[in-house]
Amino acid sequence: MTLEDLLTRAKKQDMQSLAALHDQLYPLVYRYVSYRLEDEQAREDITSETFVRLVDVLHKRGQSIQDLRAWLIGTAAHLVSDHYRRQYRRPESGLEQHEDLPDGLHTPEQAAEQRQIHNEVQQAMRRLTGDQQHVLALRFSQELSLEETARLMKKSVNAVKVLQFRALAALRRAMDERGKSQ
Amino acid sequence: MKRPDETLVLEEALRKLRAGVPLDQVLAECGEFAAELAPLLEAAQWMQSSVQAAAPRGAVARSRARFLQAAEARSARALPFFARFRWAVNLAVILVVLAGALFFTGLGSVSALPGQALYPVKRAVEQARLALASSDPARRLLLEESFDARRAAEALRLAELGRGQRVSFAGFLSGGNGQPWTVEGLTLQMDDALQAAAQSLPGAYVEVQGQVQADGTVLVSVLRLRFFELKGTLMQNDGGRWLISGVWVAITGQTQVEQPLAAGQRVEITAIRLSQQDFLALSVRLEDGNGLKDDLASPAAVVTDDGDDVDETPELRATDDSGGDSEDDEKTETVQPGGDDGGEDDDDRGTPDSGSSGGDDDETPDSGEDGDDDNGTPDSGNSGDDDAEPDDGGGD
Repeated sequence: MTLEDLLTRAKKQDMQSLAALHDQLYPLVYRYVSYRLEDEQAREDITSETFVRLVDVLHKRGQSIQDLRAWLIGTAAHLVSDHYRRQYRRPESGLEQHEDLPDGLHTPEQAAEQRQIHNEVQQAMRRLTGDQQHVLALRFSQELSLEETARLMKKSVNAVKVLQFRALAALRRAMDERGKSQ
Repeated sequence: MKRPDETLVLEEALRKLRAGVPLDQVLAECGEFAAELAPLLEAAQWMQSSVQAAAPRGAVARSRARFLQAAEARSARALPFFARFRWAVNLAVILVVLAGALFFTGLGSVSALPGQALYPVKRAVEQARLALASSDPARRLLLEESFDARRAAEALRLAELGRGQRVSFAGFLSGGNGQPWTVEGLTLQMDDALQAAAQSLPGAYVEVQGQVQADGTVLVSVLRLRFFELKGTLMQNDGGRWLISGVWVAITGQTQVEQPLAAGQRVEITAIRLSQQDFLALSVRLEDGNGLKDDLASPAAVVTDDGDDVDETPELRATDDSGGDSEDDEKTETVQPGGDDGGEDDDDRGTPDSGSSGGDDDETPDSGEDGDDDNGTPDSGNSGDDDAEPDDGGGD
């Protein structure tokens, strides 16, 4: 069943379709959020909250979602921004709870190395602007094309190209600075 | 301002990296830009290798359960008008009867005991409350528990008064091994067959029917496991436990499951109560399926003495076909992907800090200082400037 079919049935409160829709799209949202947040609990909460927001929209009469994936990522991006705003006012020490992460096909050593890289990238990402983080998360976690990214960010393709260039340069600088300070 | 060529070459290089071309080869094909792009492409490789393949175990299930609960709560609130109307009529009739009774007799029905004039009114109100809670299994269970407790309290009161009335109540069975059998503080008198049945049910949550005796004991005619009928949506399957519309139910190898079930399906469960909080499913079936229910409800576990009468096992289930076709299309408004609409909602709900910030205010790249605020980045200044540029520079 296509995503569109699922969405149509989900709007009619077909619980199985809602469950299938959730399961199909959860990894997409989680991947995006995990590029932007370090805290495992916050990732899970924000991904879950994104879907609860979807319930609201599905129930609103007279509203439709044209591009569900884009809507979910857009909503997740807003929730991440809100999270940062709150954290900025109430700074918390970074939590690094990764014991629950699935290891997939990796050996424990590979998994540990991947976590290390992931943490480094996460720390460096925090030093970028919101838009820079957004563009990198979209391009790398979702593998969206330039055009899709531009549409989602409401920018021109050229603007996205430039933003991506600077985001990668900023990320590299941040990684280098972290390397020096350690 | 960056030259567009660079960004174009970078994009092409990223595409190759994604396709699995080794970095050295990609750089070799970058020509005059190789030196400038090398650090960026290395950063891109780190990004790629840091990709997290899957969510933590359990996170998907937890989120799905929350999602389905939210959807169910929303659809319960959004019942079609006529469905609400149907309940309203039922309720209105009951209230009129109740109001009439109260008018003549005061609030006596609340404490009415079996055999008293207002007792049927009390039971009718309870039935109505159960029917109204039919779409919310957790609430319905709570009601059933509280009504069970009422029945036991009534029986206890009748026993204190030594009033010989027929009673039916439920509770945890205790006693045996030379001690008298009791349920909720009521001492049971049972013949040998019932005693033998009780031996197999110590600690179980049972239903008792019988007659209060002058000495305050209850002469038992029926003793059986108390069955709970639960209708709801399967939200989470946690191995040995399933979450059904907010109620956790234990599933064992003995549980008869009609067919493999998937999250989101509507199911009917016949369960028994193991303890104050725990329920054990005896059978699970699709809501529309013909089930094993009848087999279980005419149970091997039932032991009757005089078998004749009053099976008061309340058939309280009310059909809940909330349908849901009513929401079909009127004039639709597209919710923008970027979350403009969602964004406004976001701000309304649970995002106290965002205040007036609507749609795309929060991370606008056009204003370097905003970006800094969002992230609290002490980023090296030029990054903020950089950000200001894309729209100016590459906007068109």
